[in-house]
This record gives sequence, C-alpha cells and structure tokens, in this order.
Amino acid sequence: MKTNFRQWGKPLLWLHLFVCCIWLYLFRTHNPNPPGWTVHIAVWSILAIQFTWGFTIGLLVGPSRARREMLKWSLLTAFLPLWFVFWLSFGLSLYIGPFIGMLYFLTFVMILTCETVCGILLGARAYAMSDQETPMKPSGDTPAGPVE
Amino acid sequence: MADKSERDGRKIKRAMRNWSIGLLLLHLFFVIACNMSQGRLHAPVWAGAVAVFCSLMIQFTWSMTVALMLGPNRRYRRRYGLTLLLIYIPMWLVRLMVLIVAHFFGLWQGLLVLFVCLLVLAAETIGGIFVGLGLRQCLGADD
Repeated sequence: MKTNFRQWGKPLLWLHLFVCCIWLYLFRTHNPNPPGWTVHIAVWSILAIQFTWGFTIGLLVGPSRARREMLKWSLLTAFLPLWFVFWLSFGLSLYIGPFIGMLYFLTFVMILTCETVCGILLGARAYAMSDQETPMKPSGDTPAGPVE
Repeated sequence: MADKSERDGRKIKRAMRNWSIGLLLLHLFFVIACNMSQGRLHAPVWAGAVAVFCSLMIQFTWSMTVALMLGPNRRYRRRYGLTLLLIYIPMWLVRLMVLIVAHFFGLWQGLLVLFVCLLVLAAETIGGIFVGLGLRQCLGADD
C-alpha cells in the first residue's frame, strides 16, 4: 500500500518552526531554570534537526533537477547544531589545543553534512514514492508538484 | 596510444592500491587503539583520545574505505555489508550514553537517544559510501 508522504510537508514545516521558536526562547530568556521539555527539545535538535530538516526539504523539493538549487534551504537550520558544536570545539581548543579543537569541529561538520545529505535523499525518495497524481510540465521532464 | 592508456591504467591501479592499503592500515591502528582503551581504566591517554575520536567518525571513514575498494558495481553490492564490520566501536560509546540517559531520565529518553544515535551512524555510513565512490571516480578508476 502506498502512502502519500507529501502531505507531511506542512506539519513538518510547522514542527521545525516550533523548534526554532524554542531555541529563540532559550537564547532570549533570563530564566535560569527554563522548562525541562524545552531543554530536551534543544538537545534533541542538536543531534537530529539537520536530518529532519533535510528530510523536509527533500520532501518539498523532490528529486527534480530543475529545482535542485532549492535544496540549499536545507542549510537553514544548520546554525542550531553549529552553535553548540562551535562552543564545544572552542572549549576543546582552549583546553587541549587548537589543532584538536579544529579536528573535532571538522568531524562534527562532517556528521552534520552526512545527516543533511541522508535526510534529503530520504525526503526525495519519499516524494517519489508518493502515490499522489502529479501533472507533468509541458517539457515532460519533471513533475510540476502536488495537486491541491 | 595503447601504451599511454596502459600506463594510465597502471597509474590508477597503483593509486587505488596505495589508498586502500593506507586506509586499511589506518583502520587497523584505530581498532588496536580502541581495543586498548575501551572498558579499561588505565589505558594510555593517546589511545583514549583515539577511541573517542574513532567513536565519532570511524563509521564514515570505514564506509569510505569499503566503497573505495568495492566501487559502484552492482555485483559487489552485497559486500557493502562489510561497512558494518566496525560498528561495535561507535556502539560502545552509544551504549554508554544510552545507559546514562536511561538511568537518569528514564527508559523512553534512553531509547530516543539510541534511535537518534543509530540514525546518525546510518547517515555517516551512507555519506562515507558516497564520498568513497566519489574519491574512486576522482582517481579515475571508474572511467
């Protein structure tokens, strides 16, 4: 049985907006003890948001070559994990040395890149697997997008 | 003309062999360092540092090595199971993290961390395979 994955696009966008709002709250708040669930979401998003956001973008853009430039949007949320990774690497470079700090920074950037690429691949695959009928463009090379 | 292509082929083969042997030796060193340090309290500091570093990225580098050696040939696709050969090294750190999180925050949080870590490892594996195939192409092995 095929599933229509494309309808997940909007809820996923809202979910990521919610995560960004939580990060904004944690950056701006003067409360020394923010609610535990916000911290949980922040920690979780450090680990996995690049994957889920890459998946969302892959799902919205699809595998079409014509729209491949739009996949750059998958880097929109990269600042969330990178903020944490930067301070971690900065701390490591202060205590262990700049070379090791840089090495760790590169490793984390590599992990984030892998997450983004895999998210995009899975998202594009989910887009292609959806059973929604899509009208073809006159050129016939790429689907024009989901029918509303 | 034939001489030139033959020379090029030999050069590519030599480059591939050098890369493969270098990467295999590097991973042998990683495995020895990890086995020296993991689960031992009095391990050398350098081995501990290598083990932590390996836990983060060995899945990527090992997948790259396997992809570099096997290539995109469909016949060899089953052998890509070898990319999971060194999974026990990062899983050591993941297991530790999951146990700590499950102890302090509960089983569900621990399972969530396990799931996210497995996802990251899978992403590293796939990314490593792509990079390995790209490197192989750069070396000219698939032309």
